[in-house]
Amino acid sequence: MTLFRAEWSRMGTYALLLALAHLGGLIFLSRMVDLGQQNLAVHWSFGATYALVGGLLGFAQFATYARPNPWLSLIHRPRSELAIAMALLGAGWLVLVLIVPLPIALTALWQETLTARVVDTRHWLLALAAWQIAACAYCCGVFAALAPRRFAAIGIVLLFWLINARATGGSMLVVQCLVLTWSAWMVAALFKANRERPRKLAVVAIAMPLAMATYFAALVAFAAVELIWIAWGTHPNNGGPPPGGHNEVEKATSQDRMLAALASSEHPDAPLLAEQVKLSAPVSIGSSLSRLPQWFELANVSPMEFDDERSGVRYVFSHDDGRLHGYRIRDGAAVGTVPHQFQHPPLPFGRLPGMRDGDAALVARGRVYHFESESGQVSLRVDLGDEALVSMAPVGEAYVALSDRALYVFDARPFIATLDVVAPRARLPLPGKYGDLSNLDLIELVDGHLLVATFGRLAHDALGAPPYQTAQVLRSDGTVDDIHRRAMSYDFGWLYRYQAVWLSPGLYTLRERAKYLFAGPSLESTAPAPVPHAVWALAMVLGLLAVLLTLWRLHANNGLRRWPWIVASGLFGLPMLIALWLIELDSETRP
Amino acid sequence: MSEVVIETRHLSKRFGSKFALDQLSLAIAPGRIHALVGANGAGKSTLFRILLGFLSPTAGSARVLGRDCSALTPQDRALVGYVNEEHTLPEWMRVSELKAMRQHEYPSWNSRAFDEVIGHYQVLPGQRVRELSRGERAGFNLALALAQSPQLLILDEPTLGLDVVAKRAFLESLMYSNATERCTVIYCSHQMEEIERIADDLIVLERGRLMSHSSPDDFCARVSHWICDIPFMGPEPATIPGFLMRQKLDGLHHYFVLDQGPAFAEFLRANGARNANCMPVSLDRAVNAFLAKNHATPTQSR
Repeated sequence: MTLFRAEWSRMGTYALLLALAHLGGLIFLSRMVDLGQQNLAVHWSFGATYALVGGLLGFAQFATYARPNPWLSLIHRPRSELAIAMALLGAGWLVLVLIVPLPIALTALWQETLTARVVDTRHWLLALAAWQIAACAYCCGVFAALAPRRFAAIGIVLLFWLINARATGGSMLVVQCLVLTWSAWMVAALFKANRERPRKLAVVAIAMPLAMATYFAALVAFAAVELIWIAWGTHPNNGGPPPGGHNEVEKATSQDRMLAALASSEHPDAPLLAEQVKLSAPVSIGSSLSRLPQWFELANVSPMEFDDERSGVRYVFSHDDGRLHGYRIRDGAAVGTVPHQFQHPPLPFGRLPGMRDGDAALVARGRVYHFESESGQVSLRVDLGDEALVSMAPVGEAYVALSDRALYVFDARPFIATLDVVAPRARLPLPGKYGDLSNLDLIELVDGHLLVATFGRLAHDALGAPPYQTAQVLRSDGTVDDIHRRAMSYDFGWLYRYQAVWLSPGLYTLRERAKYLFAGPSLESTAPAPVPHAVWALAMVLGLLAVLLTLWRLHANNGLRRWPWIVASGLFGLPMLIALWLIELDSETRP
Repeated sequence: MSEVVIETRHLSKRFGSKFALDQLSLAIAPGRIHALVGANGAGKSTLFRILLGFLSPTAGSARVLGRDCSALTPQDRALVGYVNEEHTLPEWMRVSELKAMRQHEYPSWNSRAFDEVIGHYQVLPGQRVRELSRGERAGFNLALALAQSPQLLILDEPTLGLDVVAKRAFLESLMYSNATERCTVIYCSHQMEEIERIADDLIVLERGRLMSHSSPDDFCARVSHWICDIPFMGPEPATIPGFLMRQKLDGLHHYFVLDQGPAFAEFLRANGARNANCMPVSLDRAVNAFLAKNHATPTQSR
């Protein structure tokens, strides 16, 4: 406790100044915009700033202790090493409480009590999330100060985990808590008198991120080689891509893509359809959503608000009660709540046919709502069940909606005539996973639509399906004619596509699992092709090589010390071997 | 207290291809002030780091107060005081705060010992550590270390960079403190006049090896300083028994030799000396000559 107080007295004044600066910044920004309704990019910017502050604080605080004499003075006292670590880390974490979440909570309190802006539980939890991010980075900064330079920077791997994690809301808080625990464990592994080698059991805390960092470094090196390949001029993405491959199709115009899908078809209607494509102006349906909004998510995919320009009111969705809350744009005065309670968080979504000034369309997963400015009421207009609607666009006389599982065609007239739910005229199930869909092009026919779907978004990667195109006609009566399915060739060999796999199947699996840990439904799911046998064979050879080199490296050690490393090298391959080398490379073995 | 406070057996520590400690076997008895001397790179600081558990040995073993150095407990650490040459203390803290913190941490805190030492300095309780002069900081650090009531106190070049007055104050506060009498002090320094003044026991390290372990007087008695008048060149160093160092000053040859009795005069006369006189040797010159024997020279390094 005395050490904790001593450390606190060292940093308290600076912490107070930083906290005031942070509070001032938040107050200024809150005067300009509603901070609770910013999109993911803004939240990331804030998160990155908090991580930077945390990381610098941890590094600066412990860099003063890292030299041999100060380290000796710190540790050589009648306290256990972990008690000393907890006192110092505790003081640092408390400083971060003052700097990061306290100003956020004070700002939220101000917004909640003195303004009509929506402040949900999730906004209060943002303070906790911000602290956890800063605390994770703080631990990584501490580790960077204490660890040998050869692996001091591995904390970045844990911060990358935070950036890449797909969990939201409370689940993301749990992920952050895991990362925080791991980063604290990393510090504990080295927080001992002799820092040359980590504590025996806690070596896992360093070995895993170090192996992952090595793995990422290798992938970055591969990317560097690819840049050289591009500069050399023979890369498939240079100039004209190889004929018949997915790159060629993705770079083509909508019309050329559709013609390419029909070119090799033996269907009797294919030549006629190709002629119609040449005479038409195809429409390309793109996705307007990258991620689905989730209940109680801490950050918004995009701002959950829209302006009713007719009445000068801004409506903001509240996760706490599932309703829209309005306030006047002019003076910020509250104007009440829209009674409709949404089943899923809605997002503003362009316009529907028949909408008047001030009206707005909102999409909430598979449902599209019409907000009527005059009545202040919300009407359900489209219901696709549990599918997730990602795009809606007019095509000729019709309206086409794309969900994560199917394409729907609607007549435009019922949208104008009534405020009832409009049933789709026709449904075409997507002939593949939405995550693989790179393009969806269509033209209007006399009695329906011709649709060409191109699946090859991740064909350059292990996650993607084998690239292919489908051409289908969706008749007005809802029937579907399959015209053609064309397999496209890969533009990259398996060695390139599966580099993340053969390098270390174990770390690849771990990376993907960590990314989607506690995550909700995603638009990113794909139908990956089976991993080729050659990839497994190469991975096994590299794994065996790693095991043999580990055996050679540790031939002088006893079994208890050797076997965990051998098993780890077998599971995670060469990156784990390099991790072993770097950890074991102490002052005695260094040349 | 065990029979020896520090015991190393065949202790070696290698950094890359260089041995900082080489098969060092050392036993230090409790009580008294033991001086540890050696040239830079002799392995003194490495030895301290191993003894306190901050480095692991390449080979051999090391024990402090009967405990293996790699397994020191917080209770063991309470019994070992350590003062380094930088006098590393939390700069932002006030003297009173730091004293209170240490008092809280160490169960056998001896306020009288603290007051006894700090009385030699003009240190005010409200001063921050960063506001203290180097000498005051050294004294404050020593006061903190002695007040811990250590059984073993390691002082690693504590007077480095201190002026004459501060140095004297430091040594007096160490020598005349009652707390010093109750513990074993390991005093590492390059200042031979300090060693001469305070040490009861002298340990000489060279290139990680134990070269001598005796009282300072015994050590001085082993080294003799001969002055002789030899026309032309004197004998080749390789042929001189116990040769440590030679100098030629004002036409006279000065030879420092180890473990040579009066018979050495005969050796000098046999090599052309017209007269040969043996002079008393100060500890400073004795250690200097002793360490100069194997000092690397450009010729040797080639």
